[in-house]
Amino acid sequence: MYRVEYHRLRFLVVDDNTYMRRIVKTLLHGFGAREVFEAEDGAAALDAFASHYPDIVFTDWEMPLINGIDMAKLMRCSDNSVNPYVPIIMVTVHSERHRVIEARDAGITEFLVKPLSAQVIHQRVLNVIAQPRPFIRTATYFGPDRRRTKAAEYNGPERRSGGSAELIAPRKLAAGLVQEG
Amino acid sequence: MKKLDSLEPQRTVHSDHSVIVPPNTLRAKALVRVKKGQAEIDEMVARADRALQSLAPSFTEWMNNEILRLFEAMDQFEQSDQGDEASKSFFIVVHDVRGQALQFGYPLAGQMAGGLCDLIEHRGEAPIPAVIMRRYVEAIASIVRTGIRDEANALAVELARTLAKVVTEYRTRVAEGRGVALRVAGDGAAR
Repeated sequence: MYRVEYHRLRFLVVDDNTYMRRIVKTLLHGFGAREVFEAEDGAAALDAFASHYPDIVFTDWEMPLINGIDMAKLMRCSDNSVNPYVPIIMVTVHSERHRVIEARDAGITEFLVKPLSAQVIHQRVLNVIAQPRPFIRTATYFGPDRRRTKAAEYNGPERRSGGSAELIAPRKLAAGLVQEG
Repeated sequence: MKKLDSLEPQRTVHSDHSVIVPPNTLRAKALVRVKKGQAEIDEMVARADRALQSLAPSFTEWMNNEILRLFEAMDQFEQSDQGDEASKSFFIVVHDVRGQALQFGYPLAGQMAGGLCDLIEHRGEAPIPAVIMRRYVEAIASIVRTGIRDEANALAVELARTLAKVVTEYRTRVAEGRGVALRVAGDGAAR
């Protein structure tokens, strides 16, 4: 069993609402985080992302000018992104299926529906650190593998070339990157 | 002591996609084995929950401030051309209120704000007059100002039901009006 040393991580919290930023910041500080940066919209977040190099980004969906979806796409796909692999956790009240799919297709790593609690924040943070998914690049998508699980009941054709076996190998590889010394 | 084998992402290229495994630097940096089992995790989560609870005394004041913001946004929307831009700005504030209400312990106000979000979002296909939207805003405000946090509160449930009924009746009337207009147009074309 593992725990996360929050004080070793740097977070960016993006929300146009001051109170929600405070809620997320308070929870992260409660877990022991020391470096929590804030941005009140997508544009400010992109600046903060480039200057603070956060390890994990929490973002709201609905924000003026650049929303959380567009911001995530820019962090993932912009030529000068400082970290296209950064875990992005979407914090929102949108829970409809089409919204979850839209977020997934924008390269969002984890989806978190309000109200927030310490438990759900911790689960998502632990997930992105302990069980990261490989990234997939296609002509139209770049982001975490959208296939979280292999559906046993799926009998359709394999839509990616190479088959699903290749998704398993990188996971083993990822686990092997960190060795106990 | 942990070390990374490589800081370069591992790539497997296929004809229509690539699989990329970035080095898991976060795991090396911040993941450690627990010494006291689940209790250690529970203690950490409880500590963060206590930090969140320390903000709870401010929730009523924060929610009331959100209500003032909601009324301002309603006023602005009414005074605008009520086009796409104005709808989007109004939607963002109502959506914020929805999230805050759920977070600060006003679930019924949150549900009502969610209903208002739907009305704004689907204005294109089913337009709703601003006067009905204002009824929603007033209902959300009354729930917050009277401190109704209980999801089963009879007054608030009745308020929500009344609002839903107003919307349904309005849409039915519009649909009937359209039906009449279509029949008239059809009759004209037949002649």
